[in-house]
Amino acid sequence: MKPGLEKTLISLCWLSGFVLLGAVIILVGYLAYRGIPTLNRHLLFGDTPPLDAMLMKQQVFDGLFPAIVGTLALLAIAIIIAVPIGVAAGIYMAEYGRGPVKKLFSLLFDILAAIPSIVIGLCGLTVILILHNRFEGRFAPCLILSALSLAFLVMPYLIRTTQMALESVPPAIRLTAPALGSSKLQNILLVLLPSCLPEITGGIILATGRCAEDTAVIMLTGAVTSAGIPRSFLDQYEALPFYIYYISAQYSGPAELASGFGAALILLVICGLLFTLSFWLRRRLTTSLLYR
Amino acid sequence: MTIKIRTHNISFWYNDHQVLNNISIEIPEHTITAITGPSGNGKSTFLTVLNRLWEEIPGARISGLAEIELQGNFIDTCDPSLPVRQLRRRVGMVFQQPNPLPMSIRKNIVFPLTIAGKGKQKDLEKKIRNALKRALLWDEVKDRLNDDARKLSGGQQQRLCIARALVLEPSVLLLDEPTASVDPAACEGIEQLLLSLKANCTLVMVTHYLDQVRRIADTVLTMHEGQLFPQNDSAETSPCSQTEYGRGVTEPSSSTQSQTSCFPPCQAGNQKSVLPPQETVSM
Amino acid sequence: MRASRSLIEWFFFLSAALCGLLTLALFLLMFWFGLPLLGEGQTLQLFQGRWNPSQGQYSIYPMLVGSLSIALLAMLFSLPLSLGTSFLITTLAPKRLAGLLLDTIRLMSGIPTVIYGLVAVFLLVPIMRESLAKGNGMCILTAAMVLAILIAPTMIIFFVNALRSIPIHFILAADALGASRVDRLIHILLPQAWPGILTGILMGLGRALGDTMISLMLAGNALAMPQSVTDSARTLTAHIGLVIADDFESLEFRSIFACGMVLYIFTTIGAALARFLNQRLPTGS
Repeated sequence: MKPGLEKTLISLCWLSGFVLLGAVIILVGYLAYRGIPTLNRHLLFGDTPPLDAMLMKQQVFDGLFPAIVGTLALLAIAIIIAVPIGVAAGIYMAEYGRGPVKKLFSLLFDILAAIPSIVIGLCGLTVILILHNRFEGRFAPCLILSALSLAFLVMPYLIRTTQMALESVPPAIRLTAPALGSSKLQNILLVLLPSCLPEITGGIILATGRCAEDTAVIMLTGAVTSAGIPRSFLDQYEALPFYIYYISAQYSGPAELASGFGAALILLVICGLLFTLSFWLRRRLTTSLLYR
Repeated sequence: MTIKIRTHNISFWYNDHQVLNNISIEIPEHTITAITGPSGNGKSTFLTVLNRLWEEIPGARISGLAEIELQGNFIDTCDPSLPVRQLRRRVGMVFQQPNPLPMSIRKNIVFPLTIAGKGKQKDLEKKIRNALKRALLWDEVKDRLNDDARKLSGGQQQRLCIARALVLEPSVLLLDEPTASVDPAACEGIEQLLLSLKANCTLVMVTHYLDQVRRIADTVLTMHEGQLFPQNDSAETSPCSQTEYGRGVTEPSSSTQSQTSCFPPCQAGNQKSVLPPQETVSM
Repeated sequence: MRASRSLIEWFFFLSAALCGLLTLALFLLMFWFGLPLLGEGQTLQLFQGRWNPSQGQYSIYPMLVGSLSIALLAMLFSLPLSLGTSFLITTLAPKRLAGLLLDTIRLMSGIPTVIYGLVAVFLLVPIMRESLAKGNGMCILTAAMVLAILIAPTMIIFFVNALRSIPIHFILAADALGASRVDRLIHILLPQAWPGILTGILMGLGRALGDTMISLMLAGNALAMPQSVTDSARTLTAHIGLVIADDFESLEFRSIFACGMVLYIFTTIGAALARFLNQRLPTGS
């Protein structure tokens, strides 16, 4: 290849790297630039005293606290629902599934993973509409609906992570317990699962991050701009990503805009922490974590 | 000489590739039977037939009969009245690579008892001690039973795996190249251990160290093209004696009796394990 | 031959079955709700003309065009960027820098989409408004640019994995014959890794088509058929997010299920194609 052409190609590659890096730096930098100045007690609690707000004695009207609580509640419920089912399905796929049944499930899960999040939100909305009409208006978009929809959204990630982690257990470990007379289930629960715990946990944390950042699903299934702290599963709620979207579309003044950036910064930190934690877990397969 | 294990026309296929071809042999009780042969020709696969571990390997298929003598009677290893887990407790296995579980030494030894539902016995400590003593490991670990098993040296780990296999007091012990991953100094200890186990156990050992075979084996079988040939055959008629390998076994050793070297005659590091050939899998 | 399954093992199977069934149920749900639309002979109408509920027109065709143009334009921008960066990481950059770059890219994929949108609204949109001198800066081009950055990490990780899975002896053979790094890329790595690269492209395209927030926040959401990349447009995904109908029986509401079905079908085809690529075409043929 002509040296001139080669040099051009190489320069273009370096340019691409810099463009991408530059984009990220500008993004995070701008966010920090506009978000950091807003970080103070008022951002979170408005005019309400923090202690009262956190003990739920008083409502917070102007602060992000309800949105943060909403996001965290959403995460917790979604993960509690998604993890047992997702990990169990992954175990089935890796250890029990055979032949055409396994192929069918595999295809279905791939399709599930590819479905746009807004479509999942739409289906969640549909379900609640059906219930709404059937049960005379007792059901409406709410926290539990969003949590279920989010659980459904991240399920394929959990299944795939568990399946791949189990399938990559070295054959030597896989045969140790059966050679000593264990049953298949004992092998899975006592040897195989513990040996891939870092990877599976990493996958769970990644799924948590995905739930935290999602906006499309919660937009249709219960997130609103001012609902306070949800007191029950059937309440509407506030969430950080939705708040950010709302602000970007209709902010009523510089103060609100600033709070939007503050919210974005907080969300970025949450997601960044989760992501880094997952990454660290997968990388550092510390033997001490596994030692029992 | 009572027979402990016998097979009748055992053939083994791995994904349509035939590995074992009509093997019919008898293995006497309280002996060490060595199975030798070049690497990767089915020796380790044959072991998995005896404890039905082949069932855990995807793509594996057998035909024929394998019988084990239990309480005076021969019973088919695949007989429904003998659950496979029971069989594997009577026929223990030690792998080529030591594979201690990520637990303490004590928990490793107790593990087979736990999965057999006997983890809470009253004489648990005694069983642990007996197993470790039989494996000639007790003195070295008695003060650190709660240490991580993976901190032991290679030779110690392998003896731990032997102890773990012994804790259920199996009547047969299958060993797949037990000293292949162990340094030469430790390997002598393991050989002494195997000799001491003969009294209560029947040992079937795959090895490609011919001097090891000379040192400790009572019977030698050689694997050649999927079939096992006893080494009592006269040198001329046995097909494998025509090969370099066969000649190495049948000719009298010119070296002294007490050899401590564990180095194999030729190939170094060409170890095939129980497991089927690994293909690279693209995600 | 197997003994009776324990309860736990049934739970494993039922979990998998539940997920599988729900996937199917999703499609059926949309089909059920969108059916009246199709039934009343309006299938064709869905894909022709304009969206104008007050005149009884429910064509989602403009949204389809919006989705496809933003996604394809984003891919046009992103593919060279991603390919170039993955070449950089695997071959051109020194090891430490490459590792750092890859880690940064990985971290990028954890940045919430809505944050991309927020920063773009206040940083990029004014710039676009100035330079295009028309509209308010929210158009297909703006959305495509940001979407390109969004999908790049996904594609880069796929590309890097594909390039790194080439057996080393091919590379050594090329190097021993005096190939330069670019020669190695063009003649060995790309031809060998193309199934993985194609899968990465499919994944990126799927992500671009399925994204809601970027187009919702940056593409303008106009209902008219876009005539050029500087026009405002609405995607299928944004449309679903924006139509808030009160009458659940109305055709207007049912049309968003048509959007949903179109999206579902597209992504299913993409997923099936990606599976086919992974299974049938061996790397290294």
